[in-house]
Amino acid sequence: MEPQAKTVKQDASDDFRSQMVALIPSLRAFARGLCGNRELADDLAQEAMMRAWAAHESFTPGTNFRAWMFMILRNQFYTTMRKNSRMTSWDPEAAERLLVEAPPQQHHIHMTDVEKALKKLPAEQREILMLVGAGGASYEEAAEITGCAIGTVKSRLARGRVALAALINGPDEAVLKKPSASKRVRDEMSKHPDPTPSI
Amino acid sequence: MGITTNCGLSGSGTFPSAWNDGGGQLDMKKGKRQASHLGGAMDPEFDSLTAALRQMHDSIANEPVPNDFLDLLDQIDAKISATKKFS
Repeated sequence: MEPQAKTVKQDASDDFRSQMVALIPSLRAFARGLCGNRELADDLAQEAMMRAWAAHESFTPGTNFRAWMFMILRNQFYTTMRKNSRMTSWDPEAAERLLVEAPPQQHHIHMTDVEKALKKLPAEQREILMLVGAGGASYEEAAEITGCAIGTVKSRLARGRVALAALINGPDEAVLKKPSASKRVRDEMSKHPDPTPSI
Repeated sequence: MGITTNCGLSGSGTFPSAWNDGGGQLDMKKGKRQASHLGGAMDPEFDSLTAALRQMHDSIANEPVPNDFLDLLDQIDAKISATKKFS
């Protein structure tokens, strides 16, 4: 290899490493939201970093590094979830019990309530809530990471928000009755027909 | 630097996002990252659910980075150094 080419390759490695370091907090947060367990989440994030490093020469500079890293982490999560029964999984019966118990309405939502409620949601809603709601990703980025259409991202976000609110604040008629819940999701989605952000 | 996006379904607005590369800084000595959007202009329609999600995200992102991660980065640094040495 020519010396100049080697230098370029080393610089790329340094850049890659720097970008990965900057992403550690976000990777940890996304992983925690996905699996709901601190230790497992950190294992996931580290595994994703190792896999990313192993494949760093396949990354195209100038493309969305963050989305690429989150995609690796997400894939690792689903691979691990299939193998590991300790991972949080959707429990419809537990969710139903929570809905029926109906805690008192509160205007202020406590963070720990959100964490508990997130664990009760299906993973495909949880990941969208973590990416868009918690992390501030655009619909396009969330779609790229999850491999879904933007409309699917919006739908999962809307349904996830309705379910999360119901789990935290208790049921109302709109959530417990399926037709009304669907209408509520449509209403939520219709508030934001254009997902395109302007940077 | 902020990013304008439809962040939730209750409203849209401008806020410096954790998703934005120009946002938070990771201080490896302190092991903490300053959350990027805490001081940003908040959406007037910013709902409490989104706020709670953001707060959860930030509380995790602001935790000290565990030593395991630093060890992993040391391994990567060693590989980069080895590459430079033999090039």
